[in-house]
Amino acid sequence: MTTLAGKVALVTGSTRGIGRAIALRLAQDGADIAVHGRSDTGPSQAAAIESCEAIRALGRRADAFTADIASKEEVGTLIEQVESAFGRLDVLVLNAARAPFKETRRLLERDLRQLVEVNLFGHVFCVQKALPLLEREGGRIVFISSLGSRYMNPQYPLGPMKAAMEAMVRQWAEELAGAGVGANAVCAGLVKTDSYKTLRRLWPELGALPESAYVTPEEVADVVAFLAAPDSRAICGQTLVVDRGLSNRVMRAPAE
Amino acid sequence: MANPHVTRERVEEEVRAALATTLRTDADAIELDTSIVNGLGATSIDFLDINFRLENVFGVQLATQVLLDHVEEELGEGKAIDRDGKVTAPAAEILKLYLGDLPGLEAGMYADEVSTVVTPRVVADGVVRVLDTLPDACTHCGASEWKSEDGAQVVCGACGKEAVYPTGDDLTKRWIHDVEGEKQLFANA
Repeated sequence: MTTLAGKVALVTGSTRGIGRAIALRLAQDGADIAVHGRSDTGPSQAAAIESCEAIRALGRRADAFTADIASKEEVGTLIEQVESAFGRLDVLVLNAARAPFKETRRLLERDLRQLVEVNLFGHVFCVQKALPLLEREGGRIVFISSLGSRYMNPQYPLGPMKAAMEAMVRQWAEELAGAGVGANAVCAGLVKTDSYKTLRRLWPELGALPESAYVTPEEVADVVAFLAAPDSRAICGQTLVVDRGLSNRVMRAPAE
Repeated sequence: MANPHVTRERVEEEVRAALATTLRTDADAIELDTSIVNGLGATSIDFLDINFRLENVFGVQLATQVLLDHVEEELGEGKAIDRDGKVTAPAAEILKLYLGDLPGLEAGMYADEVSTVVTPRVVADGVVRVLDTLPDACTHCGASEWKSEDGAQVVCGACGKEAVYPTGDDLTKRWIHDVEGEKQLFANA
């Protein structure tokens, strides 16, 4: 597919997991990719290099950038670097997230600040700083949320941040429509990424779910690709749930 | 208390096996006192896999939080980790009591880097600490007839249910209060 040919996408948190799958899918659709991670040391750097190599193997351009999105200054530098490397930005995917897995009553002040600064402030900084570039191209923004936005998950304080994200996407969509920039979100169900490795230890019931209850990173990425492409131009401020029906069948067990 | 059904050797063997599977390396080549991060190349995500495997083998729940986070939650934020994210002097002391006097473990190191001193022996200690709390009687039926067919999972000889151990997090919290009660590391800091 070439729906994104000639375009440039920045995917935050794209060195692994869902972010990496999104970066690869957008590259398949023709976009050059700015890969982003928080840290540039050791395993993170190796993961960033791997992501870039996988994108280049698809015949697209890829460069890796580092920024703590909780820092407005670092986000400013990130967007400047993306502009000087690629000259434009058409698609911004806000996938990066960082949160402890613990009960809300046990959150330390620094846990709570990090939670809000990365998962709320961070996305606002990214949109604010990227906006001049996105406006130039009539760009698209896609937020990556999770079912924690609307259902309680044990020891998952990221959930309320995802609820804020889904509320904020409505705000952005309305504010940016006049500038020709679209904003929507994808709410992912259970995905077996690195976070799942923590969740399965805290939430033994997960072991009872059949494989069919899990969404793959690629299935999430496919919907992101749709929201990043012109075919979704009339969708505005919405959150699409991609969970293989998990939340649709609350009253019965999923089929084996 | 001790657990007569699971040997220390078995725990160490399973720690080596979990490391070998997760890190795709040879179990026999893993030294018990090597750094899992610096020596074996593990990441923080790998520890989740390693612990998950051990939890399944032994039927236990290992600690999900590191010691210093527990100290901060139990005794007050800022007591173990300073504003720059570095380990305080009393926190270094309690870490040495908990993990042993490992090379590189010292006050002023970044709290994020404490995991780099963790060795296979430390992981085994954590498993043994939970296993050693095997209660005298089965919490389901009250019988005192523990047995283990595989030398890892302990079950009740009367009702057949698996032994229920306290979680690693609960044990860690209890231990912190015991140590603080005795040594007043943080109260006097």
